[in-house]
Amino acid sequence: MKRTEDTRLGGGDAPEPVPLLTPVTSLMNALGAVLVLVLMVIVNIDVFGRWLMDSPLAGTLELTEMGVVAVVYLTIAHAVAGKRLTRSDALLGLLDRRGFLRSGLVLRTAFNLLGGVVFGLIAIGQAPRVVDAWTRGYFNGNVGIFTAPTWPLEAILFLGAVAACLQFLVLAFRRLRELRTLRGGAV
Amino acid sequence: MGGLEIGFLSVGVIVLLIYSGMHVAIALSLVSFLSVTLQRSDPELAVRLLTLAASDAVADQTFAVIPLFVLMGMIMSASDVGRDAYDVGDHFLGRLRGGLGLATVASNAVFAAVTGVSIASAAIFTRVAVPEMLRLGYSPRFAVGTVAGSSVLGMLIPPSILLIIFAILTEQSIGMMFFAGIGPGILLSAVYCFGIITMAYLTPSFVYDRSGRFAKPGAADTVVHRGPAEIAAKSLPIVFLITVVLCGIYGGIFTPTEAGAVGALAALILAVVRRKLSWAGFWNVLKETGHLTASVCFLVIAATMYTRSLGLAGVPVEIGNLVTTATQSFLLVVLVYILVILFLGTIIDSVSIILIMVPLFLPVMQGFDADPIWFGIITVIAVEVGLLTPPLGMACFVIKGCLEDKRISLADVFWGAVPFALMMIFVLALLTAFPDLVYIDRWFGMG
Repeated sequence: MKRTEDTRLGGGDAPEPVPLLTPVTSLMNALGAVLVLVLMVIVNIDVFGRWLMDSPLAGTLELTEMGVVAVVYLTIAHAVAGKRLTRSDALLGLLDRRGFLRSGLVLRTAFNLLGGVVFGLIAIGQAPRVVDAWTRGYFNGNVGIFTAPTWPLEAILFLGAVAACLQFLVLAFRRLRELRTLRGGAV
Repeated sequence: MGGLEIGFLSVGVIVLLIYSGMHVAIALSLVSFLSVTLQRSDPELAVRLLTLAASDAVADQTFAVIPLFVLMGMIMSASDVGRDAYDVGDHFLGRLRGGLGLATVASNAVFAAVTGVSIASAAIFTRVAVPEMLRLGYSPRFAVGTVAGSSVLGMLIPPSILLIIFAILTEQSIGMMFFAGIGPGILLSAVYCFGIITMAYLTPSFVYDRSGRFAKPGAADTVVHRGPAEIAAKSLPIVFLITVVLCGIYGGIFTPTEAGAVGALAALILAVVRRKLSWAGFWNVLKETGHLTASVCFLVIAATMYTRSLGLAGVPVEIGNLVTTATQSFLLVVLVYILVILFLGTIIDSVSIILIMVPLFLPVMQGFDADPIWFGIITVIAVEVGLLTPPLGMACFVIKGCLEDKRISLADVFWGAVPFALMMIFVLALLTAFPDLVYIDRWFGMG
């Protein structure tokens, strides 16, 4: 995978690739990045429209509101894969440096598994909401001015949670495998 | 087990899990889930709470502020504006004693007004200011310490992600919160400058490197001459952007969200016109903005779960009662609060500390009729001291990561940052003693 040559922005977003999952998360991440730009454009059209032509863009409020949530869930799985979720690695680093490799790996495996559990719970709770939004035709906004159906957003939320859950499980599996090779090497 | 016990137990478990290295957002949401399940013995309700927070916690137009200001700061960072600001500072301050230190502080303060993340400033100024200071005979510890100390200004001077998060969490106006960051930001910069000049005269061995191992012989004699046109070209873009954003917000033309969008567009146009941003660079900026938004917003989501689970257990009210019966001394409460934050700051990152501590202490502060805006500024400065303290000083790690000169160790960075951390604590004390200092418009009318 390509590694960003410029790390001053904290780049280096090259996750270890997994078949199927990585292409999907990378695509979602790219969509999230484009959406950031779209948010900027929408708000600008609204501001300048209101300012210069006295015609604000209808639905800006609803669209930006939904846009932020979409950006979060589109990019979250990629952020998990790139190990960009905030954590304190003081203890884990200490364990590594002192040579307690096994305890470090056990902790990492457990934390990744629990990460999978949390996103799994969110996905389970989210699934009925996607169905409701679709079958009952929920929408956001005011009738007659601007309305947007909520199911695409609910679906993105569901997919994002599922992808993040899977990504955490992949990481957990990897740490477990390292643990086993470590054990094999010690014998 | 009563609600209060569950509440306190969950806070303890969260801190423990975070210290041992679990992802902060995962620790917050997992423990909230367990705490609600325990309280109501109803896992289904707990799942619903989790999902509800996952979808509605950031579904507000105000949150668009985060990606938009991050985008603006990232574009500015990627298009060499930090270097330009430093060159201008160098031009005006370089010849004073400790002058490059002053230039670093001043240009960081100005750069802080277009970026909301301290880490970005730390990375840029390590590349720009440190080699220059070393070349001219400043000591490595002083050079990295100055960069670490002044990078903190990024989170204090608006726009700032921490101020935004605090405002959202406590339902204060973002504009007001930003305004309250300006005065203390200037105050802290002034204290830094005063401290640098004092150190340059009283302890020159800390500021200057006598061994000459890092300096380039004769470098001090060759003066780079910059004409007024070059200085103007380097300072105008950043001045323009600051004017657009701040005047836009305080002139009542835009909301902070709109200011973020307009600022990002202006930064983009400037970068393109000055040919400082390639397509690949821009794509990286967008992806990076997405990642940062996801990790910050997901922290907010997890913290919402945590706050709601605490609320369900009745912890905020109980803790308010507890503290007011325990002591009537407001000063003592503030002192304890700051000490706890400084302690947590040694390991946990800034956003997480705010998300964990503020819901617990806000009701206490309200019980004392403290000004929530002032409380926010105190919190942000105290939290930012944590960026400079080992073992987890994020700013120091970033600086070490960006250093080209491998002879400078992480310990050097931490030691160099000590005087600046002390100066931050001094400013905290000043703001506690004179709360009016938070509002720059009251500086001259205090009488």
